[in-house]
Amino acid sequence: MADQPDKTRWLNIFLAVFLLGSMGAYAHFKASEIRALPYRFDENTIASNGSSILDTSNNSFTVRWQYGQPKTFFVQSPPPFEAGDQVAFKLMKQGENVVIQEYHVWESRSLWYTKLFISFVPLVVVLMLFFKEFRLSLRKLIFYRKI
Amino acid sequence: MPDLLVHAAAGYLVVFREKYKYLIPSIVLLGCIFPDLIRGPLLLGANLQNSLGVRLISSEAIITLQIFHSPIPLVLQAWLFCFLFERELRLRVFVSFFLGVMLHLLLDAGQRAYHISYLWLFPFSFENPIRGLWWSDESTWITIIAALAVVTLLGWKYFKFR
Repeated sequence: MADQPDKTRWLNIFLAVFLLGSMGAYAHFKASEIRALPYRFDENTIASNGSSILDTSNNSFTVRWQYGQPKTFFVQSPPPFEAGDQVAFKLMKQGENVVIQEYHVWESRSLWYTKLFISFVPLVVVLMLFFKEFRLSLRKLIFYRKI
Repeated sequence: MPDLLVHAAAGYLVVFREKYKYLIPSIVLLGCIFPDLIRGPLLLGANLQNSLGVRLISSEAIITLQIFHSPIPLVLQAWLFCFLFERELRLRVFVSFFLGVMLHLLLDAGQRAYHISYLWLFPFSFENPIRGLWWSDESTWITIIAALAVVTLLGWKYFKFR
């Protein structure tokens, strides 16, 4: 059964690859538009998933902005973070100033690298389980279930 | 993203006592970690880029690769993946793999992001309609719970079938 001609298989593979390639090309074409999204005021709010705080004062804070240039936001009360912090924030425009609606100070990257390190264990286990059950025929490019 | 331990543990909880034996456990687990097999190295590259101050990958390439973690491209990838198997298994492979992918996305949806961290609606929109519940550096407790759950289940299974 497995060796019977499978006419639609390669058609489906090529179609899926073509659609994925088209989506990748579309994303590449729209990359500048997508990257600009976090830097626009949307209904008087602006938000960042994480910006480096370059400087703070009692009524302002400065972050590294879209093309690496500094941008200063003026606030009515001292910002609750310090220069050097990596901060996610949501700001609401109020006249010339902004109000900090939400913020989150990111922990150091070492936690992220620890998680990445931990992730190798399940990755290896899952791949071992998969290749214990299936074998790849390189000639036909098909995974067969081991009996 | 929650780490792969959490994703794999969620998949294990699903396949652990699946009654009908329709799902293929190793494929469900592979589906659970699959979306991060592109996103993980991508984030690593971006983080190293920031830390070292060097340019390893262009921002256009990051965006281009990032979309492979979006739901619709993931459906296509599951479709492509199932055609890498023998005909009799394809539907089971697709269902198992896509279930794993959906579990992955469900957990990722818990993570907070204001913008383009996840392009959930790609290619129809670049907006992020999902606000999430926790920031990724606040999810250590999920990792600990996942590790405890897997150890408990594996221990239970070991003593039951010993």
